[in-house]
Amino acid sequence: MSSRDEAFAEFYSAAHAQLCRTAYLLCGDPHRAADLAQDGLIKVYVAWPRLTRQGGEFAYARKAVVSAFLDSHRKRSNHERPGDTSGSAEAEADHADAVADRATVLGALIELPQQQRACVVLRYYDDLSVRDTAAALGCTEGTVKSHTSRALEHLRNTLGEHADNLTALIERSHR
Amino acid sequence: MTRLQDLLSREAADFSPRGDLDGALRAGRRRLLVRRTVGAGGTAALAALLVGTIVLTATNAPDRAEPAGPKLGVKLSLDDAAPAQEGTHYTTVRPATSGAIDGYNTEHAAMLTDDGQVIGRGDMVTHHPKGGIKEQRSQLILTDPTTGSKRPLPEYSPLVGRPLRLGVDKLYFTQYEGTRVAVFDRSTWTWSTVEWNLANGFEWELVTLGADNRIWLWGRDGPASQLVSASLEDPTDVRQEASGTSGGYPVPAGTWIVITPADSESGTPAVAINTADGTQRTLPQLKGDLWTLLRGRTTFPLLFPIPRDDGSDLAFQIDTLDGADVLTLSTDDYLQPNTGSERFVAIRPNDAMEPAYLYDLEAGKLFTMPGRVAAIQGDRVLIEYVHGPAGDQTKEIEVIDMN
Repeated sequence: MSSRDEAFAEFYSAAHAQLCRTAYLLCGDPHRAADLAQDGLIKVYVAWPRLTRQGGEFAYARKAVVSAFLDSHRKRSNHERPGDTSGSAEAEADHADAVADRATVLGALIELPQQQRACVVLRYYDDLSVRDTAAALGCTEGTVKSHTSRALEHLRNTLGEHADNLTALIERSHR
Repeated sequence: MTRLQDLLSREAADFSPRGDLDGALRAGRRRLLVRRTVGAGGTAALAALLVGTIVLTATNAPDRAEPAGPKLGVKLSLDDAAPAQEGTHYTTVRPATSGAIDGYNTEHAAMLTDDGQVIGRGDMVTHHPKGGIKEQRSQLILTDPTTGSKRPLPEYSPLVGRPLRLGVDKLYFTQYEGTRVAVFDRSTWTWSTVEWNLANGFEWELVTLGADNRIWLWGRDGPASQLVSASLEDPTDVRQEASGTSGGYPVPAGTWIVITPADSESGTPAVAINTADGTQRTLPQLKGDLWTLLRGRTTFPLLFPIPRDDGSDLAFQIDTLDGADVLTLSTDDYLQPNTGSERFVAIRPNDAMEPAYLYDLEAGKLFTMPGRVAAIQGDRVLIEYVHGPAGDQTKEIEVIDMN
């Protein structure tokens, strides 16, 4: 294995699960999430020497995953709602109370338009700043704020009693 | 942690995907191979076949579809330039070799095609048996830097001038007669011409070929002037873009620049940027020769004001079209940009025979190159070495890939 492959393998091991989880929250489909993460990591491999010179390998991979998600979503039929992939989430709603909240959250999340969903996932799961989220999505900080605000508003309306502190988040999203 | 963060984390935590490192390595190596194959030239047919793949890949690849952009606010002096080292900073694709082959005893005006091949102009000189030049013919030659194989392009009349775009499938050149563009199809190895009917009485100058495959021409008839763009696909599609200018050309992102005649007081032209929505923004007054690189083949929107020696220190300045400072290079020498790509700008010292500097826009690093930089395409750089005294010079070219 070349030194490039060895270094990449180490990065792959460290980053794969996290990228998959981000992708899963974006698309709601575990198989598609694995594909998105794998494709993002392949792009990291191709760009490896330049990335290691400049740093930011993980940010690059995450951006590739998000871009692939947004691109593939644009190409999908209007009839193919993101929520259609969430059968498992709906089923989980019938499970024990411990998973009820999560099923509700995932269901509400995948009802969001893809840009809004990406903003929520990047800001509140990946814990990115508005600036870094804008960089990952290739849009302005103002766009991130407005998408996030609308997304949280929707989540609050959808989640009802689960959304106690979303009001605070909405206020924060404007800052 | 907020409740939303908590819920998202709990939701994602149960998803424990299995990775496929070997699959990623195999796919990554394949993509690298495709890039290198096209980058290194290969055959025209292979390149043409692969270009679709590259475009599709680039759609999702942040490094190509969305260049990192220049590092802003860098301030350097020429003393900061580090010699570019083979192995560390670049890899040699084709060592320095003379262009002589099959009677073409020189190779000059070399450029790089989009797939990294070298287009040079070779001169074939034949002599009378008793001495003296019988005939001197100039020929364009396509060289694969990986194999060194050369293939002359067929001769074409009227004479072919400077390159407008050297694509993977077609090469576009000005021609020395009329308002026409010579198009060379690399798959059929044949020439054709595109010509437009423009306003009579105007003296037309081909300016550049825009990214949308429209050629830009500037014409003058006494005090009147017109700036038009014309389609390469439909010769009847001619659009007047501006009038009363002293020049202009398109830059990326749906914008184009208009230069208005020089202000009589300052002696420098006014410059305006027009955007696709019809608005116009005038740039601050800039000093010096700011158009050199924009008239070249780069697609990167940079301006190059070069303050001349007016009592203050000399400085070489690169700005973006938005006015952000990219590089300020203090120097005792007169510098000017030579050529560039989205990642690199070659900077030529006052003595054109001296080796050039290469500035890495993304990394903010300045290199001293081993020779003159003749062309840049992506990460590929064409270096020229000139030997001998003026008037009796020979030239060698070398092709390198910056790491």
